[in-house]
Amino acid sequence: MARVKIDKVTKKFGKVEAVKDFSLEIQDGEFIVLVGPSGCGKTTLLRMVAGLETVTSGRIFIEDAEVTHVRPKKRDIAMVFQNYALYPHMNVYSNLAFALKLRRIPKAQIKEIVKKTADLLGIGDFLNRLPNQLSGGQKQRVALGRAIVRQPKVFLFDEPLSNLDAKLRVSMRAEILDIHQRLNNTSIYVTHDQLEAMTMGTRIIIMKDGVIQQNGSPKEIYNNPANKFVAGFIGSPAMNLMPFVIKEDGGKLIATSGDMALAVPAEKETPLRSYVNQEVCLGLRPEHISNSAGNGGEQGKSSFMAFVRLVEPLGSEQLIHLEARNQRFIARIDPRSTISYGDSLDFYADMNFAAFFDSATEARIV
Amino acid sequence: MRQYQTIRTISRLLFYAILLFIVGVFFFPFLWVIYTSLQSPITAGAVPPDLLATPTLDNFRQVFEQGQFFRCLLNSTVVVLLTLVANLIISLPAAYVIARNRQNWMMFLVLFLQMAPWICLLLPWYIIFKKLGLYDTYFGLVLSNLTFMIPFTVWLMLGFFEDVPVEVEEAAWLDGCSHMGTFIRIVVPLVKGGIITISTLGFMFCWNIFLFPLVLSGYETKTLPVFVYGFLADNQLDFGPLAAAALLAMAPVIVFVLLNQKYFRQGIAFGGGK
Repeated sequence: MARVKIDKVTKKFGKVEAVKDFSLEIQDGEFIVLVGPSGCGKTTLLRMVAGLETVTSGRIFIEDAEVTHVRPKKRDIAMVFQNYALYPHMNVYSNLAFALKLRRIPKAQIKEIVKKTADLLGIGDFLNRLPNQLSGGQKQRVALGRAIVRQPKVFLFDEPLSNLDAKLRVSMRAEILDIHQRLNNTSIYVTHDQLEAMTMGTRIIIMKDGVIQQNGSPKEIYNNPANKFVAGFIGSPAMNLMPFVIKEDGGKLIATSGDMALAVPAEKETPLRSYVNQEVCLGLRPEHISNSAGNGGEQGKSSFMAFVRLVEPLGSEQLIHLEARNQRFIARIDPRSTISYGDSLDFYADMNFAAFFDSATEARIV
Repeated sequence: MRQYQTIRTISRLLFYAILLFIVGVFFFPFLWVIYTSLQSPITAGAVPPDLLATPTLDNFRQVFEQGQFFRCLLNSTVVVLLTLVANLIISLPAAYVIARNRQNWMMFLVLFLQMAPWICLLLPWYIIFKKLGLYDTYFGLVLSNLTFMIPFTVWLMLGFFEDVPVEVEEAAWLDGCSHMGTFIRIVVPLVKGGIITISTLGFMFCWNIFLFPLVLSGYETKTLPVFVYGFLADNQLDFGPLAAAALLAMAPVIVFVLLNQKYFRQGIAFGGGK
């Protein structure tokens, strides 16, 4: 297992800068997730770590040894590809054994390692099958097995679950994490699915346009997004992001939109003082908007009247699409609530969890 | 319903009749060669043909007694095999590199080489080969064959190589395989169909090529098509031995194609689709 250090790495394709001045340190045994929309540079970065793409500038280290210009075969890295990349003309056994044969490991030892890995992944019965005789989940397990047998320093995952159906994705996610916990391997996992990122990573790096937007634990990123992009990207449904104007009312700050006014909690006032009479972006997660004031009307909850545009019952919760003063947002409420389309009701925003973003820079104010 | 079935049956019969006619048109000359090779000198060129004449193997005996048949058979075999091997060694890596680094000018060059009229090369080559001592040598004949084979092979194999996913190669590199190792162990097995197709087509082409061996080969390296031509004497036309020699010359190609027809059909369809 190994530490990985990416030091000010930039990658250009002609004039296009796919990765810009990217720096990151990954500790031994960490499972970090690179997440972002398509074209944000996450796969390019992963491929540079693997040696499959050249680096325009910057350096990459694995276990303190610089590998920036070292060929892929010498980096001792294993990669699980999005479309599996199994060798079509070799059966499962040969796919798993290929890397070991290249290292001239004795046949008996190869057999033992392959069998152990196959049993770990539950593919022991398929060793004689060709890849085109396997299902998507089985292929992905073989791809995983091919990485595991080599016992590499670093595991790389390039959106390995994106070709699987939703149910299989859930079970494979658990399997990958289970294997990570057993082997304690250093892993870099790339995905565009924020749900995958939140459930899998010990640390998440959110990227946009080749630049790190935020680097932190799933909880940190969810509760304290660094900017508007992160706030809108993480969470399902995404955080409600609405333009409000900060006004002063008797020494207290309020966020206003038309005649809708939401009180800013005292602890958030100081950074917002310099934004009085200016537009900011107010972020509220759906679960922080409810149709009840709670026990005794908690402090920080501001009420407003809203029109119900759509009700989405999901079984364990309901998603209510609301409109108030031309602002549209989504609330997550109790499944037992009887709200229907066309209702105009009082809703409560828990401003203790509100995030404020600068309208121009989109950076978080508080 | 009955009327529909009748129309369907008639259509089907008509279809097969047309198909048989077309096959017959293409197959007839071959059947005629077989017939003629089994006829005596009297019945061989008879008009109308005597279909009830007793077949004879005299023509084949004459071909073997002529003395050069086996020598020419060996020459053809050596030249074809050397051409096929050299062609694969040169063309496969070339096609692979062009497929992976697709540049329009490379494709244009490959097509241009195929469009050039080969006969223009005949006289210059004769002069050059004579001066270089390549006249009447296997090397010379193989070289002349490769000039046609290489562009054709590269053009046909491009589609096959493009269909090999790059990720499969990348996986091999990460597994510890060198570029050459990846090409040999991973890529080449995946284009096996194309290789068999090109080998079959190459075998047919090189085996049957006549004009260049006629000019560039001599007594030592005479190939079978040139040997068959020898039966067209100045003042006599022996149809029987000529047909027998032609049939013997055709036989290896027919066997080879029949053995590889599955890959041949796949490869042609695939190459045509690209």
